[in-house]
Amino acid sequence: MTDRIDDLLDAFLETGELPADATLAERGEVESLARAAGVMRATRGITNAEAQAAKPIARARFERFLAAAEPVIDPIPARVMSPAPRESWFARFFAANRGLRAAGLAAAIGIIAIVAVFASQNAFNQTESAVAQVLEPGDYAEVYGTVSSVSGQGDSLTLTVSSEFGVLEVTAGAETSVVASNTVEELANIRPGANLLIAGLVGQDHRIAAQTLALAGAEATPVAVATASAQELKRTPPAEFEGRITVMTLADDGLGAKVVVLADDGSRYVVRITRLNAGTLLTSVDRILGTRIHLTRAAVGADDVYVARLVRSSVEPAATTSPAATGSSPVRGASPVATAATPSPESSGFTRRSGVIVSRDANVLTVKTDAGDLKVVIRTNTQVIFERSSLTRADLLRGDSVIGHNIIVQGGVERVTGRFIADVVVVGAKP
Amino acid sequence: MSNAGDDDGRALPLDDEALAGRAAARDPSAWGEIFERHYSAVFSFVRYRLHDATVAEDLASQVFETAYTIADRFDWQGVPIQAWLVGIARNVVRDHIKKTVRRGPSVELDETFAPPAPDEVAASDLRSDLIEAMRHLTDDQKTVLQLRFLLDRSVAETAAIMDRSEDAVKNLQRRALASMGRALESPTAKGGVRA
Repeated sequence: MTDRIDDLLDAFLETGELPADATLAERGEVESLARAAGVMRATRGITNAEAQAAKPIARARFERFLAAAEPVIDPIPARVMSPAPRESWFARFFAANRGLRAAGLAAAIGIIAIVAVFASQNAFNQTESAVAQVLEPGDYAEVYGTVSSVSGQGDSLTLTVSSEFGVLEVTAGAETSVVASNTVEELANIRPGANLLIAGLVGQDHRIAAQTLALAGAEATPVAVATASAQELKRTPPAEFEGRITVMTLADDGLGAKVVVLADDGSRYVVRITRLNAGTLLTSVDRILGTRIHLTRAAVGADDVYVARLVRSSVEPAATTSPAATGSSPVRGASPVATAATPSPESSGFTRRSGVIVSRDANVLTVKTDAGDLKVVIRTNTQVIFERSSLTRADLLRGDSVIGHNIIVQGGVERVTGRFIADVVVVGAKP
Repeated sequence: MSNAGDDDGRALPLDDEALAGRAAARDPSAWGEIFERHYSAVFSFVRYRLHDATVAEDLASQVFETAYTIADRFDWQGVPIQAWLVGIARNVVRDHIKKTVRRGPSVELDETFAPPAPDEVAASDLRSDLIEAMRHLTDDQKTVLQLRFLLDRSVAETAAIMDRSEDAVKNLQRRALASMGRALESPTAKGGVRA
């Protein structure tokens, strides 16, 4: 049984009106109560924006969780028992000799295991793509591509993107920053044919949940690039070589990093470098993709880790003709030309800012830059690299100890609030 | 409860009952769909009980992981999946706050109840006041307000989710709004009621 105010309040919340017989006192009470409800409704927008921003990383986490979860074995239904048929002489012989039976069983298991290994390797080789070779679930990745199709609408798009590794699927939502020549763009401006720099997190299905998309402008020069094959990318890189970075990834363990390097002879290699090394490169150039580096295999004991040093501090234009296009591919099995584009040096990239941290409130840093103070939002999916400092991520979130440190931030601008959202942060020493 | 569609408001191909059946069998694609449909609602529910967005993100993820873990216990009897998730979210948040309080004034506690960032827009300040005011409400009062005004559930839907009568929900709603109003008008709230 409700009282009259309960019913009046409910009616007012549903219709915005009160019945004519409501007294002045009743009206006052109901309107006062409804104001509190109005406050709650007024704040839903910002919470929805936060939810959308948090969703890609949460989705990636949940996908990892699902992948790691044990499959559930359904209870085996009770079998209908029937009289056992009389066994053959062969079966009775094995049944009578326990040693032979065990040996036979072991041999059968061995054969099954060998067949299974061959079958799984075959299946793996068939399904593993160059994309899977380069982009591991949970990685933060920066990669080039050209949009071939766009599906979805409004603030939820799925982009099909041609890259040098084949076709990538990229999801973009309200939380995705879109920038072009340092201006904020609408998601709707991404259309087929657009050249993109993509920064985002790799999901379990190798889709990239885009954090920032940089539209390469009309000044970008589309060039043909060869499609790298998984076989090519598995090759061991030379002990020392030079080339241009075409992809960079930071592992979700907070330690590792990888670059894909297009060597001077047209070969592509996946090269592991340290996260710190990646941070050093990031702080040295305006844009890491396209940067020319010299790679040297590290000391014995870490023979698959390389040290990357900058060769030229400017971003190089991609080769205008791919080795595959000229028919001189050094790699057997490398597919011929795809039409992905590499933005030219003058085209836009991710927004980069550098300065000194002057304060921190919650997850927002104030960075003093040449252009004035900049508010930088650090999210859970922001990649943090500490260069020449013993700080930790916890220090960054606590704040006090990071004040005064140099910082370089890369990312995009939140369309809803106009705040700078950091994809990658490199914290350096105090000046 | 009506099927409100997913976070983006699109029509969805499967109803809750069919989805619940597949979810109970731990079909990964069903869980992917459940995540897409309900993440925003779960996040919002958790977020209004915590100041720190990072903690809210973590707890919202925990809700789905917990739900998957106990999926075989979910008995579809007309109980919406969202109601089930909200129930789990209530427990996850309650456990988190208990643990945080038990540990004493640690960094996490400071962060959980930290003041909002000064650069946040007005709506964020308002929400911060709301979260502060929420602390003066009982758990049921918080839940009824969140279901009614954040997740836009009707009185009937809220009653079903909370396993109460509609009259009880209306009464709870009034008392919750009255407490909320008092808390927002109190001197500890920075801005008072701004609506």
